[in-house]
Amino acid sequence: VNAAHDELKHDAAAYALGSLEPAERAAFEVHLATCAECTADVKQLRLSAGALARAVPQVSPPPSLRAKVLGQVTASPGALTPAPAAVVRDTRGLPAWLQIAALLVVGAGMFAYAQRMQARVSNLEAQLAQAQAQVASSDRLIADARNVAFRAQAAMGVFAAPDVARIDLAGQPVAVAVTLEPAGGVPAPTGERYLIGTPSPL
Amino acid sequence: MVIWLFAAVVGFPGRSSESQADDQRSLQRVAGGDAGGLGALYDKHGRAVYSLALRILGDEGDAEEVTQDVFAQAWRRAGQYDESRGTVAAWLLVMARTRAIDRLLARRVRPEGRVHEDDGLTLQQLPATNPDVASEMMAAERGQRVRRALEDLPLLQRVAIELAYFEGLSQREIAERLEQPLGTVKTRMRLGLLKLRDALVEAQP
Repeated sequence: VNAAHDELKHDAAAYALGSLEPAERAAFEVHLATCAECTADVKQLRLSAGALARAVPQVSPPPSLRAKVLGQVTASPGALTPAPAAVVRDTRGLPAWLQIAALLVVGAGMFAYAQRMQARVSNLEAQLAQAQAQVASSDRLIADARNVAFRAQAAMGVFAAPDVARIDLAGQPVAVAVTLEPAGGVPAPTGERYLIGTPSPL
Repeated sequence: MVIWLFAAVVGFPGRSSESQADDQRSLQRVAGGDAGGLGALYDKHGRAVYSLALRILGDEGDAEEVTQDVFAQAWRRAGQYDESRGTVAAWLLVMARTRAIDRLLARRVRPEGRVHEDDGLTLQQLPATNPDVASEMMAAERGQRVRRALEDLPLLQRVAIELAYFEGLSQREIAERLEQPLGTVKTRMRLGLLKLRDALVEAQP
């Protein structure tokens, strides 16, 4: 593309003047389709080329020419008709009521859309509050669990030597269990059993 | 920006957009099959179209036929006019130039082609009837300005541009005619067009 550009950019002036040979013009137009630089260049050069058309001595045509020009399009309506579907978009030509109606329709649409968006936002806010409440209650549960664990550790603290002696595993117990009891110990376990197991050799 | 520049160079100073809007309305009427729209376009631009064809072909009869062809083409293709590519006036003049050059080249191939006359001969002809005297005067003034800018160009630049635009010669043919290297011709044409554009833009009030 760059090699083509370096060669073809020198044809821009002749192209703007409409004097490239057919093959040259075809090649230049292929390049023009993909080259923004040459497209901008041609636009500039065409300003001058267009001005040349106005630089010629102005001469009035014979008055009879007007009738000939109009006669050829009106004389035989079937032979010469304009191409159908004039695709000329001109909003200035729209009636005022249609412009206002279009504005109203667009405005109503925008309002409805805004309403829907607002509903969605409050819905999401409610969900967020709910989620935040759940997080708070989970935090509380975790704190409770930490307290339980902490109190259990505290009970371990009163694991006195006589207690340890009392659960001396030398007496061939069939099972061991840990219970929570009032500080100081009791003759027989009363509380709920937590750690239950059987001794096994290490 | 480009559209504005274009209007500044080619359109009517100070009323170019108004004039272009009128032309577009006329063209819409033409697209709808209204011959009155074509009449309005002819009254405004027929003289410029005819003058360009006459400058290129040097023959009144040929210039008349080209003018008829241009407005017949405008009648058929009104719906295809694309405002982004220039004013209606520029559109008509491009068609006129293309058709006139086609005729000139066809004539050159055939032996009965006559020698191109100097355009000074037709300068004396006066505008007989014109519906819009004010815009005619402005058009004439602008045309003079373009002509002066063209005359101020270095000779090689001016001749290369004139041979390309008014004679339809290719770059190769111009190089042969002027006995200059092809690359020089290309460069001179470009420089000349750029200078012309600068002169026109500077001349705006």
